[in-house]
Amino acid sequence: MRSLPRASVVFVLVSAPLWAMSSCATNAIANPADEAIFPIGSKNLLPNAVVDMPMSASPLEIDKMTFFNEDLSVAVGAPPAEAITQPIAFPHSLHVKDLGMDCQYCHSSARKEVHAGVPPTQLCMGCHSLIASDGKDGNPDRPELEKLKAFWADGKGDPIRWVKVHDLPDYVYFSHKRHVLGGVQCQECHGQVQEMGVAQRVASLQMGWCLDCHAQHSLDDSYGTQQELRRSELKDCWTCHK
Amino acid sequence: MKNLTYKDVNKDVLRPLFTPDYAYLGVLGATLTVLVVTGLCWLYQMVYGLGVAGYHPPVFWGVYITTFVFWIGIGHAGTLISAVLFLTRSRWRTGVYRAAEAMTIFAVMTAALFPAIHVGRAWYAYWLFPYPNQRQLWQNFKSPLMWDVFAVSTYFTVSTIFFAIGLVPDIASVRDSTTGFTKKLYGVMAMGWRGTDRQWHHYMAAYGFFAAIATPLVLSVHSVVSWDFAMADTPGWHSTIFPPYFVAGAIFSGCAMVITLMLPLSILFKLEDYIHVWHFEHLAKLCVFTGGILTYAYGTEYYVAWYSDNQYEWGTFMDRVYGKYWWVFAVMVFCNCIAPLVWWFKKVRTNYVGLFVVSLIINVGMWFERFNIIASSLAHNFDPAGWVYYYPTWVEGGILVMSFAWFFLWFLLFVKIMPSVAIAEVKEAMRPPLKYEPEHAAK
Amino acid sequence: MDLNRRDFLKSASLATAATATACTIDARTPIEHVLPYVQMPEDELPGTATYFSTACGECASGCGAVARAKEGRVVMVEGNPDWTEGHGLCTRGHFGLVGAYSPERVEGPVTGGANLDWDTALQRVAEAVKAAQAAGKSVAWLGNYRTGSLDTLLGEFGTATGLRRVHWEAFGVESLLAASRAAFGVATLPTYELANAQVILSFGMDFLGTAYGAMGMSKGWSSAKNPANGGFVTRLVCVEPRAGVTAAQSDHFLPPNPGTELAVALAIAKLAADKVKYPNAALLAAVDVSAAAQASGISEEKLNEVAVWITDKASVILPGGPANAGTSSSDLAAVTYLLNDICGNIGKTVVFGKEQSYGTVSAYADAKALLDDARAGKVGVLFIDGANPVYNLPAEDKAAEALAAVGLVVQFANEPDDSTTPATLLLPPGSSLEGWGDANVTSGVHTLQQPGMTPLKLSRTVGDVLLGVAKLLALPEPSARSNVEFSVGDGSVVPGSEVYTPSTVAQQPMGFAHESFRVYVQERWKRRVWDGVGTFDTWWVGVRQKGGSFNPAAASALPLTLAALPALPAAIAGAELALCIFPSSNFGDGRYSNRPWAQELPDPISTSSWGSWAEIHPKTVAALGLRETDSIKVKTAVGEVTLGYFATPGVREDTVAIVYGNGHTNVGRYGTGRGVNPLSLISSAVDGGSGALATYTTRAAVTRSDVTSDFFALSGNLTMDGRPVAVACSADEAVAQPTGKAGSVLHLHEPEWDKRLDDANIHDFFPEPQHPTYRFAMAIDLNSCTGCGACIAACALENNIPFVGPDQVRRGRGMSWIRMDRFIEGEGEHLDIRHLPSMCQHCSHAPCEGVCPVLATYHNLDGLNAMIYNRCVGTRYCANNCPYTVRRFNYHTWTWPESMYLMLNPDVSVREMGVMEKCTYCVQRTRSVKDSWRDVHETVPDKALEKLTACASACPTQSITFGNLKDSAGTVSKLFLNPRTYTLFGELNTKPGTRYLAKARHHLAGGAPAHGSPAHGSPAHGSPAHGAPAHGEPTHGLPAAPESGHGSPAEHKEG
Repeated sequence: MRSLPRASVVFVLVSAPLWAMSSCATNAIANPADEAIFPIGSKNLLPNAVVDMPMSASPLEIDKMTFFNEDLSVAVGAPPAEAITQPIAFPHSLHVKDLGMDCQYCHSSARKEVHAGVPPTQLCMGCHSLIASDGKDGNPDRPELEKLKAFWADGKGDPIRWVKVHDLPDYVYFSHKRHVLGGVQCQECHGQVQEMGVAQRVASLQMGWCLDCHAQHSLDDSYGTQQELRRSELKDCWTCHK
Repeated sequence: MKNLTYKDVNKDVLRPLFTPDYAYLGVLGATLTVLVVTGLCWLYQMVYGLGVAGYHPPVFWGVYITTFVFWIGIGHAGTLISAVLFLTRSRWRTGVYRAAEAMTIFAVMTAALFPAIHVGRAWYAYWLFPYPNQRQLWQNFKSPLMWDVFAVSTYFTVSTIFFAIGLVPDIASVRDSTTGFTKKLYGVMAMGWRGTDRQWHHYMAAYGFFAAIATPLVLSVHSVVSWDFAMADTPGWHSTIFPPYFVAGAIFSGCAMVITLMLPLSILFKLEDYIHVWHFEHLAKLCVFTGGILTYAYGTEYYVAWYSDNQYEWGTFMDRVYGKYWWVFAVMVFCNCIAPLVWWFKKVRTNYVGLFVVSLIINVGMWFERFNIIASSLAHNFDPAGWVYYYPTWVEGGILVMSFAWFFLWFLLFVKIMPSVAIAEVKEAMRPPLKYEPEHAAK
Repeated sequence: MDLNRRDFLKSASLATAATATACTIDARTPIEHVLPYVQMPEDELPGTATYFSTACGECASGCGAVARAKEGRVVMVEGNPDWTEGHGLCTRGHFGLVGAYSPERVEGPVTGGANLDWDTALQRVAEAVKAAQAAGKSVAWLGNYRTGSLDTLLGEFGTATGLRRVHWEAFGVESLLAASRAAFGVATLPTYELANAQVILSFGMDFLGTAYGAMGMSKGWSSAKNPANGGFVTRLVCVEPRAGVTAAQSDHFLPPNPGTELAVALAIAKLAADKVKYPNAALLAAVDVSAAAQASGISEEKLNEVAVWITDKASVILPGGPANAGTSSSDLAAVTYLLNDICGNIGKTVVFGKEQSYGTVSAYADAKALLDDARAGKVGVLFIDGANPVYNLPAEDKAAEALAAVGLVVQFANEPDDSTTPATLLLPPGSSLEGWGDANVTSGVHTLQQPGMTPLKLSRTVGDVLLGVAKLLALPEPSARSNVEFSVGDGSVVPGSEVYTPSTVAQQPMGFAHESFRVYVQERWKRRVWDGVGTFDTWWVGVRQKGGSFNPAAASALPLTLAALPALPAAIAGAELALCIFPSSNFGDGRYSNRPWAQELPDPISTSSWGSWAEIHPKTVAALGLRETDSIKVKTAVGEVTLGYFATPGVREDTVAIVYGNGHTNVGRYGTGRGVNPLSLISSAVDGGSGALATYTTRAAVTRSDVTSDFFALSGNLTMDGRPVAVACSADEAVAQPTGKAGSVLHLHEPEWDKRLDDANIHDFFPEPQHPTYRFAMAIDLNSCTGCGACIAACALENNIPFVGPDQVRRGRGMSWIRMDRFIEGEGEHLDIRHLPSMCQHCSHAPCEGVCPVLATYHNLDGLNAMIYNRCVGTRYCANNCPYTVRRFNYHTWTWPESMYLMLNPDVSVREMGVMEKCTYCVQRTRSVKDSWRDVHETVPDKALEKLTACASACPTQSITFGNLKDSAGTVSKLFLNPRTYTLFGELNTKPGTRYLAKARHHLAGGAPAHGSPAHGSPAHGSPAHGAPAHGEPTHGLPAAPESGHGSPAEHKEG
């Protein structure tokens, strides 16, 4: 019998808050019928490393381009643990160093647009339709070119699913145009691409890295007396985040 | 006071330690259960967003900030009693200051949860602390919320150190009355206290020193918290009266909370000899005094709002009385202005029931005071098209309960682990033992 | 424990390092893919928007529009500045984009739940047509108004197949056409040129909202409302039972006794005719003015006053609209034509020759007759094009039964609606952003609809289907033009006047031998629109760039031939409340109600969303003893509905007004089951003159219901509670343009400024922020703001603002960056409804900036109050501290169905839970335009900024102007110096970049502090301030403002 008062104390202590909770206005959960129609996204509390954007091959999914709905918490992290492999092992060194092509031959919108742009398969085929790839006629066997031609399929192929090497979070707006027009060399951010086979990331791409560069670089002379103003403008968060 | 010996003191005060009976375990278990269950509310909120709380813009702050301010307020009495009363050499502090100080720390720990609960992205709450980072970003030191971060963390650090220093001689007493592993454990914590004159000399100097450091913090921390509101332009917040008014309110609620906690504690652990009704009476008087200040401040607020002839300000204050939140205002006035008046009667303030009930009422009232300030001001802002009525949801209720569970958990652990009455100081306040005590002689 | 200091420090540092390592999970960048084009479209530049000039296909108005496409998806639709009516689209037009990405769209032809391929589907249609013809049953068409090529094709297709065409829309124009036939002998619709009208008398036409051609009329009205344009402020008199978007702007709101509008019109006509010595005054001899005044409840003096107004100055009298759709609506319209004639407006403000065109127009009676025949089994094939008979016809007509008796129902719809049954053959025509088409807006003005993206689903336009069916049926080539313009209820056909196409072009038949509708459209433009100058190809390229051919025909007049006056109808009798049904301003007759943003957009008057409500007068509320949470039950002889109520003085005491547009049984996830369909309350009574559905004919019993109301108003308080928020001044004051006038309402927010401080060179305690090149600013003219919500719609689409659903909206968590404050003051004739669009004011001394602990919001060099989402922790302090309450918090991560992600603007971050957001002055647009001008090292000129933001570009009344304050010659700089301009809550010294121009109202006395009427104590529904005492006039309303007002742009000294 002595345990009865204690038990009742425990009972009251446990049940009182529960009762209080349930009797509070229960307006936290939307009406169930509505919840199916107005889904509320939940926060993935797992570390960012686990977050990947699943992509399927349906045309709608591809158009989605993962531009959207990426978590504002997903920051630039370290490059992938292993070297990036691409569907076609495109040798930058061959094209840039050996053949002497300009970066902007393929990434032509770099000086015109926010995006540097990955060339359409059509552009590759402009040259490669003339280069044999099957090892016949005394040419070396070029299996990667075979892949390219399979992707081309007379203009009816699938787009090549390149892996993004320099991937900024979606809340970062980086304009290639302003940097290229400002005379920044591609290598300053992308590393010595002309020495690479498949391009790999060398820079951290983190915000501090950007700001370091902006602190060091002297501004274009054309700004003259407005240099300080330009410098302040570059410190405006809205330059890159909006 | 009974005729106690030093030995009795040791025995009585240390009795609650080492003997966890079923009642204690039951209460502890219940607290833990409540903490876990209500903690799930927080998890739920983190996963689905703050929308599960009842926020109704433009009421962007609600129960969480209310509860934050409430706990910060509770955290005032401890340091006040231990530091200020130490410096003024008030004798009645001895019985209650240890538990009051523990209460302070736990209250601040509880309060510190709330900014994290309240922010939209709790996983980034650490951005509120200035630290060197790769983004090269710093905080906005103009923001009252940043001042809050500093004020609360400073207060927490200083009161913890002050508390730890005060504990040293008593922990040595615990060490001396135990054996084995426990003895070793307390031995480390006692930091080699032997009670020598030299040690006492340094100890008292250090204690006084920290008391001097802690005293201004009593005034500063709640002043800074009040600036969260006073620095804003919201009608009903934008007021220079807030710092003293908040500090008075904090002491008021803190002392009431000390009564609420210590009364059951002294009865349950049979410490009536040390935490005497005499102590409570003093606390009650302090409450009556600060409650008076508070009532005066309420009146001043209305006077200033009227005298300013600012229609937004006056609109908000009238809305508090006549608007949808009239009941919050009524609760606040009853609990904070009217209820403590019964303590003018000695009969009531020396009566356990009278003490306990009124102190509880004050606690409730002070929570509603903050709710009144926050919710009703925001709900009746400048633009009439934005006027709304905000009311909490069960998630907010759950998290409010969680804060109590969290607080009580620490307090329960404290009474089991640490001597909840300052042994050394009680002894100091006692008549020193004679070599030949009459009762000893009788034996 | 032997632990010396060194050991302790060592182990402590080790532990710290270990903890730090453990906490720093080195997150890897998630793997994403880049998918380049296989073949790049010629003019495509990744990341650069492509603009298509097109026509809005959401209603028959056919407004010019521009679609912005990014990477092959249209992400924004805006008004076409090259079009005759220039900038601006209504909310319904903007939300066309939402319709295009609706998750409910069918994949292709569907019947009975099975997908068909197009060939089979067309085959089926052709077979059904053949079978019907063989069985002697009719082939019928029930659709919305169609103009342009589709109308032509339908005409020829109809002649060849014996198609019975019915083009009927709820709240359509049939009664106006019938009235014009009665008054002028021609069934046509005049154009109302409001820009020159000093007085507008409207008998219920919603010309600022749901009426056809509202864009043009809104623009004209806003021009007439602007004192700077003609030195006058137009006076608007509205005669209708309920104040909607249009009547909310009225200076004199005259709701007559139910059913007596015609008497009012006749009485005014009589008085006006007497004043101007109207030659044909004999026509009005029988009109008894005092009897009319008696019947209508509008005093004789008032009627006389109105008659003086309309005869004294250039005026326009507008015919009735949905609110006055009684059994004599065409008679009422005919009398308005007479009134216009009396006032000499014909040919001046009421012009012919450039009439609005609607193609073939049928009356409700035709639709009813068609369905009756269908029910009798006389219809073999029924094509339904955009119409929704089950929803749009009164429940009494039992349209569903009729459809079930039809051999084959072919429905052209992108998603199923109430009229779709399993047996229906659903043929998706695609969105108007995906297919070719055109519209004939007014004579000589043609807009061309060009696809801005490839169809998301396997859809074919209606034109393509008709051409395909024609081919399968091997229809003979038509020999002559055979359009039917307008038919009346008795089935008799009125030959329409050939007013659409330039008379120089021969009306040869088009035939069916075209490979696609695109070719058909082009060919038709070649034959009928092209002026024959130069080569067609060059002209066609120009048309495609401009979005159409815009050569408005010259205005002309028609002689009034009205021979006899209509008989007065009986007033709507009964002791109960008159039932008035009005179309929703967000989804009109209900056809857009499955668009979540349209559902969420608050109604301009009730500020409610996601449902239906009834508007009743506060006195009715009191009489019924309703509590805020109660619903009302509205019962007529035909049916009853239960719904929430909105208490507003903007409706007659003896009237209950119910919104139409919701209450669907099947229109997809967003519209189904929301609200009620008030057509279930009325019988199928018609207007005698035209056969139009008469919705304003009955009285309904209104009682209290125990059902908890689901009504909620987004605007908190009904009135301004005496606070100067949406400020108004008298029209005289606005015209006089006083400067620094003592006692003017325009200085309400300017605290008294001590001249001595100026002398001491003290301007402000706080330094002015640095704005070296730009100080972006916005001027909002409340005078012409109608609260329509187009800015909100455009903003939502441009800035990826999610919809949150009724449950969250009810808790005030709607994410719209623009909040449309609505205040209803006054009552009766001087009802004063004001709107105040409030978005981030971009203060120079922003209260929000100082309080953010992590600097997620700050003031930038362009004068913008920046908000960095990814830095935001979500303390919400900024939102508390914003006196304008314009910051929005993401209480959840809002998601929407997959297909709707495609319409998101890739230039704007999508926000996640826990971050604050707000209006950015469309920073992506200002950045982009700055970027282009930086290429040529120049500052962006004012012209490029004026309509830059989505809201400014959308505003149909051009009330919003954007610009750079540093350019003193810019439009915004000039507007800021306008004496009507005030800064909201300027006494807080926030120095906002957004400033408002006070509304000018005729009934306000000059110079009086007329910002509100605090003494007015009507109960505020949904207000937390119940019983809040009116605490009198603010005392700081009457300062002697200094010449260079503190905070005025003149004072805008900057480094």
